Amino acid sequence: MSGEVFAQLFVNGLASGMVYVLIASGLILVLGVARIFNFAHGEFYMLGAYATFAFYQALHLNFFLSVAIAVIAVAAFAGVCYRFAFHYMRGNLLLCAAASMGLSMILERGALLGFGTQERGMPSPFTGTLAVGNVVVPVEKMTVILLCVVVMCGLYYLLMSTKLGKAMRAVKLDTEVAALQGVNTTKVYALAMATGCALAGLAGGIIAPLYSITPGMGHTVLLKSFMVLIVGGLESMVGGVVGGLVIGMTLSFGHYLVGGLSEILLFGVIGVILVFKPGGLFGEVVEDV
Amino acid sequence: MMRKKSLRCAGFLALFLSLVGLGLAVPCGSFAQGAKDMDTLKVGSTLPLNLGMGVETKKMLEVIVPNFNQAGGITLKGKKVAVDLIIYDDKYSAEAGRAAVERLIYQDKVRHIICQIGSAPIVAGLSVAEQEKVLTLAGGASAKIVSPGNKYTFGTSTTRTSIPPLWLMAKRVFPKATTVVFISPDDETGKARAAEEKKVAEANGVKVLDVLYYARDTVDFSSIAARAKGLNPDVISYPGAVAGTQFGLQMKAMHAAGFRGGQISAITPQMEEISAVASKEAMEGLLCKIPETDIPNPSALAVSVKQEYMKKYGTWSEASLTWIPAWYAFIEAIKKTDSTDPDVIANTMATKGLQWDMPNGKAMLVKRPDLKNTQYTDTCSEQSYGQIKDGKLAFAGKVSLDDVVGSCEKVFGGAWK
Amino acid sequence: MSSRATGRRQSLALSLVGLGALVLPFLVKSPYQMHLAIMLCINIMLAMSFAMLFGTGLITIGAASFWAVGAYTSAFLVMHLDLSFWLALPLAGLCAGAIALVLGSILVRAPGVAFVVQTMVINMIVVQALGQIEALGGWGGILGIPRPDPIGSLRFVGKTHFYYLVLFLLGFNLLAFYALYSSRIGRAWSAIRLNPRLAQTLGISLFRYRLLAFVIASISSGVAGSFYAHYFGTIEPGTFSVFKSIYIQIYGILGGLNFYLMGPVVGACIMTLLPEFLRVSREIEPMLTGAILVLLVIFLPGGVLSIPERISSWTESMMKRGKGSPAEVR
Repeated sequence: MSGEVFAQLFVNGLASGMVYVLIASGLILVLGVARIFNFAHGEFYMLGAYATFAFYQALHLNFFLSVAIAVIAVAAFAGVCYRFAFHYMRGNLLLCAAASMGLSMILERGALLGFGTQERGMPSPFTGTLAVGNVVVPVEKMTVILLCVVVMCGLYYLLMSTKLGKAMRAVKLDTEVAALQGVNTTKVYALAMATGCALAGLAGGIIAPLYSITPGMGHTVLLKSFMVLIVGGLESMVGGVVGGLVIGMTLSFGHYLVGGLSEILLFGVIGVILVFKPGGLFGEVVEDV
Repeated sequence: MMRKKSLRCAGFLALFLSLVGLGLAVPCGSFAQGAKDMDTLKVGSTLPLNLGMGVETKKMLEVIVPNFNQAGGITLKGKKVAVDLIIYDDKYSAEAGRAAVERLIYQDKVRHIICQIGSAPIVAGLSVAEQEKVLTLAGGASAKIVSPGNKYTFGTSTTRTSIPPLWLMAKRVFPKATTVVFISPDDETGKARAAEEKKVAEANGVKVLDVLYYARDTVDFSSIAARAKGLNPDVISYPGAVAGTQFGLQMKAMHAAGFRGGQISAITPQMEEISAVASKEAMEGLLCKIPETDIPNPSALAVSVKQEYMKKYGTWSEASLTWIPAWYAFIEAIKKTDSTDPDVIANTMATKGLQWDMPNGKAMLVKRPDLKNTQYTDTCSEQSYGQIKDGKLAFAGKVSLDDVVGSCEKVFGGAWK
Repeated sequence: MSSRATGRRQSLALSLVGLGALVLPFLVKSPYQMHLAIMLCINIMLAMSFAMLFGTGLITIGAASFWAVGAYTSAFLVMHLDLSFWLALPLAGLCAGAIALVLGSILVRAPGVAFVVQTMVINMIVVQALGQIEALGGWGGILGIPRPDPIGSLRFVGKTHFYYLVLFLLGFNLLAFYALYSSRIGRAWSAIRLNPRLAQTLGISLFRYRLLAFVIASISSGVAGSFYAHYFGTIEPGTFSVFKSIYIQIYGILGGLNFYLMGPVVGACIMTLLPEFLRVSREIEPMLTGAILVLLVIFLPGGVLSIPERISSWTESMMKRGKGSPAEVR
């Protein structure tokens, strides 16, 4: 493998890995704070893509503006879903999981019937390639990487420095104690769900010009996102970052090296990691659920 | 507190009942509308309504069948009979497909099932259909559908026979090609088509450098494209690819990786979808199928079907034509045998074959001696090909039905006619 | 209500259900409905294995993998090694159990959410492996799996014989599980589920009992798989995906997680029959099923089987209010 190809695969793995990081971060937030195993997470990713497409295509807005509005729309929608469904079973992991499965069924079929069967695509706002030395990388991939990094930094700031972020972390550590400290746990749950699903929607919006926008895109991304959690540890943000990058890189290099067996390779990598660290790289092995 | 609770319970009950009521009330009108004084024949179908191609096929059937009924329907022993097509959702899965087929056969009492698309539901329902002597004219791409022993089942999709004629055209369009790389989905169809195409390519003197598989729902083809480009073939082929944006993404990735050679595929690309994701340069020169409606001098049938479809929906989708050969085969079979008895029809079709016209050209049943099936079981149809020039699909040539069958016989062996 | 009375009420309900199940083929004429009944029994068995694991505090999203192991093993044994179905059935179960033993000894050590996702990964691996191995049919799966060999006058041509076979298997399962739950082992499981640390201090080995549950549940799934393969006639990897495992989990949840035996029955009933019932609504059926699922989870968090208890506590509080005492604030 030449240096050129290696660099291309690396950038490619980084780009797709960062997208997985975004989606997985949302999943971890929802799981850790709101205690919801969100099987509908992929659907929010899909909604983010469709919303971005709608605002960009129909209202002719600038790409970044479209993504921003789409994210807000998805966050609001997720908040509504929380209030009218998950609120009633808050704290109960299994019930929320079942409800999220029901929500996923509704959204997936709803998207197919509502948005139509025609698969969509968005023109990329960043065409062209960047040449660094004799390595050629598409600009759009670099933009994805940059955007994801910016968002993750923003997320870090949110969680570490803002009042809401601290409240979320408190609720994640121990809901009862957080409530005793005066944290409005219900509001925090709802906002965690909104933020987490917004992250998924953001990933969908960012990725929309690179690939395609189809009603089934959420379905395909869901299992990979859970794999990120498996690798990184279910409730660790750092784990989410590392896990996403591991998966992105493995798939990128795997497709090049072993073609169709890349999925098996991925499972092999995950298996090896789990043998040494059953809870994931940054996970903890906890007794109760 | 209690009032709130009982209010909630009441609300729940109301919502629950209205949902169930909605579910029962929603079914759309019968296909046999417009058939006033006619007898009706119930015919079944299962479609993947969770996928675009299933919904598109359903829309197309919702145009063709009522119009057919209004035009007089089937003439059976002198009487006019309307077709009542019952379509169930098989969700592209074996479990739902099997339940749908069981329901069609035992509840709705159909004796004929047509136009199914997914191999998993078709194969799952086969055993019941064969046992109950129900005629199945199935789409699907699996070779299992046309294996010997399935007396009442016939494969009416042309996917299994689409590769040899493609290469007849490929030799014309890319005469200097000596090497090819395949990019194929890692599923039953992809593997089967890739294996077939390997034989065909080598029979045509073109060396297959590698077959690169991707997981079925992949959207990121950069790595595969890098690998394919690294092998530097003259031509890239996409056996088993699904028409739609995914195909566009593959071409986009190949172009981005620097590949500028020839590209061929046996699918009919969805131009709108592909143009949304791939640039004109990426698609340039692709040799693929062209829908009959877009060739110079299309058949009257193709034109009328397109008109009827556009009259009802306002738009056109080439995808809708892909999975309806079974309908036309069905009507022709009934006409030929003047009977709706599955035994009679299956016997006639298996021993004497069948030829029929459909919007995508003429078709006929063929034998598959290479699959050890010496009865008429699979389908070949005349193929029209196009090349994408400047973002538009331009007619490139037609391969006649005889030539299609001939090319298949040459590669797979045996007498197909 | 006294527990004797509720116990009697429960036994009465159970006997009615059992009786109904036995005479079902005589009441139901359509083979389609018998097919649904058979698939329902299979789903109940799968749900029961999920419930057994939940009963020890383990949540699995990998139940379909052992179902797959059973199905493929049985098909392989009968088609390639020419064994009789009646031998292949228990062997398939044991094979699933053996694999569960090996995997479980690694997985069960890390219970909690780690276990959940590990079982998910195993499920994904199983599906991928089955698809890649051409000797097992690859993505297209195995076709033409023969029916069970006839025994006596049972020929397994129509649905009725298959139904009685699966009913027998289900009944056997129910009895075996009931015996286990009532025994010392069942009490150990309850202890583990309620408070693992306390159970440990009582000398109950968490690992051993959880592993036992894992293996038994997998054997049950394996047997269900073997039946499924020979009833359906064809098997393909897609049927055994993670989504099926998630559905199995929902079967358990809907019925009521506190009801280890009847909960799965009710949950499987709802999720198997509802989509078929709503088939008339064609395209929008999954939306309706999803909506009903969400509503059921919101309004019946204890599962459908918690309705009697809720009604009785509701009537009790109504009566208390009537007597002038302050209403219970829930």
